[in-house]
Amino acid sequence: MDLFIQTLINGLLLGGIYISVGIGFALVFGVLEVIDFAVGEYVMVGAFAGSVLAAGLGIDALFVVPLVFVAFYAIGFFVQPFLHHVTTSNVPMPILMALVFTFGVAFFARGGILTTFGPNTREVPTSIATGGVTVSAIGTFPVARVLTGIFGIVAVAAFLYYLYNTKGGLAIRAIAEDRTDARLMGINIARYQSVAYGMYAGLTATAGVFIGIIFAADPGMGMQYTAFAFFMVVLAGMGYLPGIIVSGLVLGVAQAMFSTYVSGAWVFFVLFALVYVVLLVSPQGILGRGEPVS
Amino acid sequence: MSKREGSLPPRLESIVYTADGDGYDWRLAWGIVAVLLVAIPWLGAGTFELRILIGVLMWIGLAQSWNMIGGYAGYLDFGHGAYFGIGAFVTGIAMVSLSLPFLPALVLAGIFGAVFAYAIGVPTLRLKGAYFAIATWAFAEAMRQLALLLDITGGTSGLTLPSTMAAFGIPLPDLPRVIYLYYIMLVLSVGVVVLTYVLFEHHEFGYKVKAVRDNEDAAESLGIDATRIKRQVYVLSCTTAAVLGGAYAFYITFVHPQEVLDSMITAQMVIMALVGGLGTILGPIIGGALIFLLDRLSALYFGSDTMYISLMGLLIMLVVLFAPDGIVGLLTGETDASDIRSNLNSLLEKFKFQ
Amino acid sequence: MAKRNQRPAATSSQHRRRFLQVAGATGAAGLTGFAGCLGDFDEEQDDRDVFRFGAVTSLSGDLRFGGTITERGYDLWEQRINENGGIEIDGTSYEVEIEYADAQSEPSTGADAAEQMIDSGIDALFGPYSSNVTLAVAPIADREQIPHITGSAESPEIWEQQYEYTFGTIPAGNVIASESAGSIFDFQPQAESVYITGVNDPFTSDTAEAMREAAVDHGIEVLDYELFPRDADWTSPVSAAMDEDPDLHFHAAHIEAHVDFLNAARDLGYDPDGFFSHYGVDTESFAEGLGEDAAHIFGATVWLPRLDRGGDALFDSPQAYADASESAFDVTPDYTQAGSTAAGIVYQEALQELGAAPPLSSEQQSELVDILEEVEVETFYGDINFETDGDLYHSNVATDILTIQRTADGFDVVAPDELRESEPTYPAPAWDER
Repeated sequence: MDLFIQTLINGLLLGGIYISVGIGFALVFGVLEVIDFAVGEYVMVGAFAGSVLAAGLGIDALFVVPLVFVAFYAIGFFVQPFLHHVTTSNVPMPILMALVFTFGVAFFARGGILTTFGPNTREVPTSIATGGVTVSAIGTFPVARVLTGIFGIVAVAAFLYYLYNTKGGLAIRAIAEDRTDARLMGINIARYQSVAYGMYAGLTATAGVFIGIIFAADPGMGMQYTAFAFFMVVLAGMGYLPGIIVSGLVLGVAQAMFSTYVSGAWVFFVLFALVYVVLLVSPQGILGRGEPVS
Repeated sequence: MSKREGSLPPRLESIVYTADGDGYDWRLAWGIVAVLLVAIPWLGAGTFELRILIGVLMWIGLAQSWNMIGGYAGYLDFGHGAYFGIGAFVTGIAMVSLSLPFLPALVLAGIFGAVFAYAIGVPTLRLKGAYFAIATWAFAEAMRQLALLLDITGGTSGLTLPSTMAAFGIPLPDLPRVIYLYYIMLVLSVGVVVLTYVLFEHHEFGYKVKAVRDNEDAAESLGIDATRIKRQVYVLSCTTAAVLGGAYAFYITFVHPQEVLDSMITAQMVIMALVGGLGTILGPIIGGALIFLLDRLSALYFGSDTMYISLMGLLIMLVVLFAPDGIVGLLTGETDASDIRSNLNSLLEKFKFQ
Repeated sequence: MAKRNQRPAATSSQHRRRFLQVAGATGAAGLTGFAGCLGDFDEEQDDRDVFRFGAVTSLSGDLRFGGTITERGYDLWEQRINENGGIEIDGTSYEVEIEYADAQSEPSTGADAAEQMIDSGIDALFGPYSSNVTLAVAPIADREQIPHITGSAESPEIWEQQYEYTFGTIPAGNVIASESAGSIFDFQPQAESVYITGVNDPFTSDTAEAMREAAVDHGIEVLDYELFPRDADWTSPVSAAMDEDPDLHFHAAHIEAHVDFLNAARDLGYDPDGFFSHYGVDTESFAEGLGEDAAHIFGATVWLPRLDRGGDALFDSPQAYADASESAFDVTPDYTQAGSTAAGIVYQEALQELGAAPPLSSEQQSELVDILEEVEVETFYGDINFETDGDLYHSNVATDILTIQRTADGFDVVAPDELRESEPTYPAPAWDER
């Protein structure tokens, strides 16, 4: 088996994981202008929800995905009004305030899970998404990662479809454009913002179930996904949703190639330095399609 | 500005008096606080109490240092903790590899921090808002990874510093080490607070900074060099963080990248400044003291229950929702019961989905 | 804040009132409140009929796994000894009391915690989990001259520093890793090559280095040796290793990174003759994280519930200890937990030898350390005897090191020969043949 091709596969599938986490984050960033520090904690809580539900119901974790999505959609729907209140309050830096609020949410979630479930890792049980499929002369495709990648890309496609082909999507885009105008057009801001945030929470928690299947559920896993979500939107160009697919794949492949052919130890240093340099050189992302620096 | 008491030199006067000219009470009360702070090691405070006070002072200094760039200049520096870590490592390396005493090592940390901050600040300050926030954060994480990989920082093993006062730089009487550390931190922390107060509340510089924050174009049209002002604030705030990091290294005597370059350090500074009251002089003092004490003491006394982490989260959420002017706002009466009620009403508004 | 640029036209009295509010509240939140909550600890110092211990552990943060294991170990000792009436000194029994503080996985919090406990007048300290926090606490124990036994810190760096007041019941991680690795190299058919990966954290990088040295000593070819950051994705390292096709794969990491690594190895079908990780293979967290895929992994331990070892005053045998743990916490103990409990038993023996009633004076505490240096205790955990000089200063060197292999529902000891429970399944079956 060719190491180069296998590394490429590893990188692309790693990119799939990033896409599944990044899409919701990019949405709330682009539409609601909220930098959500709790993104990784939604992944973490989602993984725990998957673990508990699958074990409790005695079914494969893949089948609890719809349940987790609905539950977290509902949670997100009722979290958004709080953020809405913060972002529209009469303070000098409402965006910063919202960010700090999500910081509080992250602490709350992490402490709650740690207290409830203790510090141990938990398996998210599945018998379907296990092992790998080897395609001769190409390489091995781990099933769980392939499914995660498919989920990520379907989520992006579904999101884009929703945004550009439905009434709700139109409303959300109008809000993203200008809140005041949207209100004048008779759009219920509270509802559609909650829909957007609910979708974000639902999708991110669902990504958490997949990530839990690939790795395991663990109360400390959130931070790293928050970091990756940040990477994703920066490289994609802030506010440019389709860019998420490109940035996820670039990030995944770059990481895998660097790790295999240059140095494993230096890989995160290079990633962070890359994000920093991209921001300085091309703040609108590697595709140059993000929102201009205002 | 008050000119009632001509006996004070004007420079001192500007420190002592409030801008309203009604400074007398403040001076008296601050005097008492200052005497208390200086006297506390001799009033029966044990090693543990002094250690906690060292923590309080350090975090007040750090929160204030973040407040310069984050509160007064309005730039969300999410990589501020990097300078704390850089200061700690420069001090550590100077003391271990170059065998320098603490004082010159600390000066070196300050100089290095300033030069580094200037080099980073020039390109990074061209970014704004979330872009600046994420860029600084990526920079700080890159620094942490770098420190784990370099030999000079001790890599994954970290650095162990000399732990006796012999390494201080000046011969000292034989007192418990913690007392000296307390005074070192007291001088630095009070220094940062006074510096902030003078520069940002009572100096032309502060008005320029606020003008740039509130409207950069308008400020420039008034002849203020916004770029220059922003660089100055950034370098100043980062340098103070680096100096505090250096003192911390000498205090804890063990410097490790996963600790001194942890992103939680920045997060804590932000939360402290915000919960206390952003862009005010008192805010970071109150926020720094309160959050540090809450966090540290609950870890020490209720350590067997991790629930306190959630409660911290809840506190942050409540402050942001109902008292966004921070605790200072509550204390000064700027946020009162009617504000909280109207915040609650406006929050309930947001639940109307029909 | 919204109004912060408009100066409020306050009158003098308003100003004073506002100031007093601020000053009063700051004071209350800061100095007084804090002094108040410390006050009551100093009072009980004089006259008490219990031995008081302080335990610094990481209950949150990155090291919370180990922290809670450690806590359970200390807890069980406290429970059991108090059920037995306590420590008997001159015909009177004294109960023991352990207070815990969360080190938050951070050296500075751990150091503050230790200092607080010493200040409150404890008789001795139980050590934190992890070398980072221990390296911050040990100098404090030395400075304050307080005995300090850690039941879980494994990093060799601690012993190299030669702290006079700090002892450890668990052998250093590099010793465990290198002995255990050596035994695996002796399995038939003998391995010729090994591939070593690890996480670049303090303890794990020491372990990885020890594995490499063991390989070199045994004349095994090290195909590659590379460290990765925490939270790295392991598919690429696994693919790179597969490409080299080694006989053995050694991985030096904490539990989460083992689980991630082995999941990646399974998914990519990476099948060396054996996987070995020194730390955590015997824990429930490892088993829970991997489920069925945990089988056949090699690990190391220094203690097992079913070992044929003698007992002590509290626990008749390793099994009796395991039963006590099952009934108290519903958890099968691992060697970290056992080592932590054993730390308590060492204190108990040493205190009886000292023969002083609580509270201990500082001379008595120093005497206690002298006793600890000489102590030779037989416990359910094994013999305990601390090294008195060299690079393993004050580390327990009396314990056997066991190589284990996971089975479908537990694990067996596969080396050394005299303690072997079953022949190693070696080479281990491929992932898809299990």
